[in-house]
Amino acid sequence: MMQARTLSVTESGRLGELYERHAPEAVRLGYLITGDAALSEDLVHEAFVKLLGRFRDLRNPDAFHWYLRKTVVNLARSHFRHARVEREYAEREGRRPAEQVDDDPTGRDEMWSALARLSERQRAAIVLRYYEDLTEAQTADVMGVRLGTVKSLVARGMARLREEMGSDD
Amino acid sequence: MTDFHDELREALSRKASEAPRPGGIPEGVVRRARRRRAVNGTLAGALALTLAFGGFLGVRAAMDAAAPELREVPGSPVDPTPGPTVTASPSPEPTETTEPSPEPSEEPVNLRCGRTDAGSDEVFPDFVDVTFEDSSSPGRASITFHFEPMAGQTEAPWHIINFTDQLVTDGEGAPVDVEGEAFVAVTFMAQGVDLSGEEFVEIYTGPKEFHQGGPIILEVEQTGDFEGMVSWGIGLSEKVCYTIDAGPDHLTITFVR
Repeated sequence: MMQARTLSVTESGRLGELYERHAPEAVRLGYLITGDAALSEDLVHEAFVKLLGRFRDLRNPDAFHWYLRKTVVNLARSHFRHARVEREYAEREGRRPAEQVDDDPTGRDEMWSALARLSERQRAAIVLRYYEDLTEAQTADVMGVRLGTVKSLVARGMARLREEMGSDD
Repeated sequence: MTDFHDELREALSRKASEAPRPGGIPEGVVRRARRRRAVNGTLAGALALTLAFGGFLGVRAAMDAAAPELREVPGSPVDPTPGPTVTASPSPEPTETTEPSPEPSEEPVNLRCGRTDAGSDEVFPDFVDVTFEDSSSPGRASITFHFEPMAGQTEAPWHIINFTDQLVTDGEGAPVDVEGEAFVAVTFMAQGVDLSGEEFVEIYTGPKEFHQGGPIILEVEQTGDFEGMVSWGIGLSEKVCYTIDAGPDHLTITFVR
């Protein structure tokens, strides 16, 4: 059997190379899901720590991109889950809840404002389908959900976007 | 009128262009990744020792914590029997790898009739072979996907097994015609093609289609090898449940009539 060539990630140079190649795309994905510039960078840093910390040898750069995308989506989901718990606690305690996704208060981008008002899962599914151009099956893989769930998230999210945008398309 | 999808794509691209542009890799990321690697290495060694000395319960708890969905047996909301096992080492008898049940059962332990989503998405073995076994018992038929594990790998790779009305190719989603009355889509994280060099190197060089002809497994066809995920479609003579035996070097699905 042919032994696969290995791409060692033990050297800082290699780490830097991987980071430069994949981080910008991952930050954009994180930014579209969270709407928060600083948070998206934090998520990507955390994703790199998780991934680079687990791989002794990275043999397939394409697969790294796949893992990274999945890890960023999962970390964003964890962040929102944690934030939801914090909000509920703050509301119970009578404090002002933390802000959710910035919905563009300037009103310059109606579509983004409408996207920001979707649930995090609907937004993630729509971003993966229409920004990352993943198939429904790939989106299901990345989000770790069933294909039917992706169809439902996208359909309901799109319906709400259309409603908010007053579109009949 | 502008197509709504185009408008959406434009809005997403516009917003994405506002995203921060990361510079070089932060030193903190490198430091934390190295520390994590060191810890993982230590944990892997400890895990191997635990297995070697039969530290079954601790390992089991760790596996359950890592993959809680393994506890679920579709159709059995309250099931006191232990969940399916992701074995840490290969077993010569796939159907014997399930753990002892506290209660004797007529059916194979861990029989599954729906979706399975298990294994580790942090291991990435080479996918090297496919074999079948269906002659020993008329009511059972097995398919095994064989892997060459990564150095130090102790877990089965991430795998998803699910019944589907229509098998499709990965990526394009084109329909795949496979003989059968019921269809099972199998996807696992492994490398069937090495893309790291200048040229593609096939790691799995076996057939992409198998015509088994029954009695349970009729036809099997590879439906994809895309971004580290290898997919196969299985056509069955009827919908039957299955058991899983998964380890670092194999994934065996045994269909039980």
